[in-house]
Amino acid sequence: MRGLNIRHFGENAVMIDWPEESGEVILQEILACEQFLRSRFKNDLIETVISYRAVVAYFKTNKKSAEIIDVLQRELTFNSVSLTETAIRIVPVCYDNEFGPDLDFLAAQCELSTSEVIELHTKPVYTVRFIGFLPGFPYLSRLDERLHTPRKSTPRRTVAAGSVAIGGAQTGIYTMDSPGGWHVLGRSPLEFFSPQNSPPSLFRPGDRLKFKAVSEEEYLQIEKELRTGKYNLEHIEND
Amino acid sequence: MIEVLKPGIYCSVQDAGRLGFRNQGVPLSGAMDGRSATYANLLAGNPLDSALIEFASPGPVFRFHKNCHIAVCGADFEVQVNGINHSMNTQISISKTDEVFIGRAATGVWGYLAVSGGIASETVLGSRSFYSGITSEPRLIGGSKVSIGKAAENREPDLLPEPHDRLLKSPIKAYPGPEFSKLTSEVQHALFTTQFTISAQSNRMAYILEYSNRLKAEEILTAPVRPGTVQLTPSGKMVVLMRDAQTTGGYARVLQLSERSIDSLAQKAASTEIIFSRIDY
Repeated sequence: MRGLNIRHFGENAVMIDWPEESGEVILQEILACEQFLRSRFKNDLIETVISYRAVVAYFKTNKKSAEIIDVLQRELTFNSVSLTETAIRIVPVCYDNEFGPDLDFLAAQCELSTSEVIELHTKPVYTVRFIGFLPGFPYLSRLDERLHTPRKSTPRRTVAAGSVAIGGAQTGIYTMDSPGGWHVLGRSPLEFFSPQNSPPSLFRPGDRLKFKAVSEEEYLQIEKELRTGKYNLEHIEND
Repeated sequence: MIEVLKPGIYCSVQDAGRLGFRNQGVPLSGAMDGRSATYANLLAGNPLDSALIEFASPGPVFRFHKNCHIAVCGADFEVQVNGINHSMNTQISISKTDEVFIGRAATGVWGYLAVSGGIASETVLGSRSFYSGITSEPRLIGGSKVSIGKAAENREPDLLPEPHDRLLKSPIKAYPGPEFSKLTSEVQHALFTTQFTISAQSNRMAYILEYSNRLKAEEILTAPVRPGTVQLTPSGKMVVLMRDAQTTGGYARVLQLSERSIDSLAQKAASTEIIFSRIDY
């Protein structure tokens, strides 16, 4: 297809690049491209990994990448996958200082009050562009421009699981304890990744979500309900 | 069952890796030196992708609670069974209550102990490879007990392993990476002529390379990475992603190692000097 760059990415892998990042239109094409790859190569394909404007397809060793590239250059075709059918899931976040150690700093950087930051952060319906960095870590698009803040120059040694953070023009959720260079605004009690769940990641590309500010009491209550299996993820039906 | 008396350094269970979950951000993992792991399994009479024990120097000490066959491959480790020296790269018969001692590696980094029947630790997301946050333990520790799988009828291996020396001396071959064409010709040239030194900070996730002149590349929009991806940061840090690498990253992907060269690089100890030799698709 025109404009796409199809090439090797090491042995037994092929990378398809879109010329430039242009938001969710690309995501819709990327998801359609993944469907094409799965149906065209079936059992020869191990898996695909996507990011903002790329798909990498990992193949079994018996398949020659040069031949795959040939096939793709001749046959690759797709439309786009519609994203609007999914319900919007609600992610509760406590933005109190204890949970959001960088909220004050980020507000000062953006010349906003902390309540304005929370308002701007909880307003949009975010789309999960892809999962990367950590198991289950969702990269979200549509962060309000007023909240764009360069990453920390020195990463924090430990960011707690559930931390909701901003790095540059991106916002995402730390799904497990990890070092991290993004500014932590708050924390969600939800479990975003568990190897015991099927699928293990709570979110997948194309999913839509909205953050909802909750108090520390509500945070602890949700945490308790999750432990006893009584919590149901809130969602808004598609309008 | 195998009881870990002393865990040594970086002792874990690994297999051929966790395939099929990279799109959920789960690292591939698997043996750092896949070729040595394969040989160890071959010598132990196992399917080549069976789980085995990986360790660095100084190595672990085990007490076996089962009669079995083992093979130790990889870096040049001292191997003793009940205090008697044994060779690497050969099948060793083990009796119940035997103590297997792995000493230090004279050269190389990673050693592999395969057991007939394979290691039968928990399978999580299709793999037994240890990884923090995926398997219940990130490492084997003193007192850990590891189950052994049911062995097929024991047979002598029909292939002899490649000498480990050749592995250590083999050149590190690299393809130009996705961002290679965006680099200045000076940087492109330097990547294949500079002598890089393996840093002591290296681990299963990444090997850090030290060097004297300063190369740099601009950050990129977060994009897929894999084991063997060589990243160059805006501040000039050179990082080779290894088996526990993230699935995506934001630094320029300047080179991509061949699969065999990932195994070879894995066995280069801290302070070893390397030069990348270019290969093209």
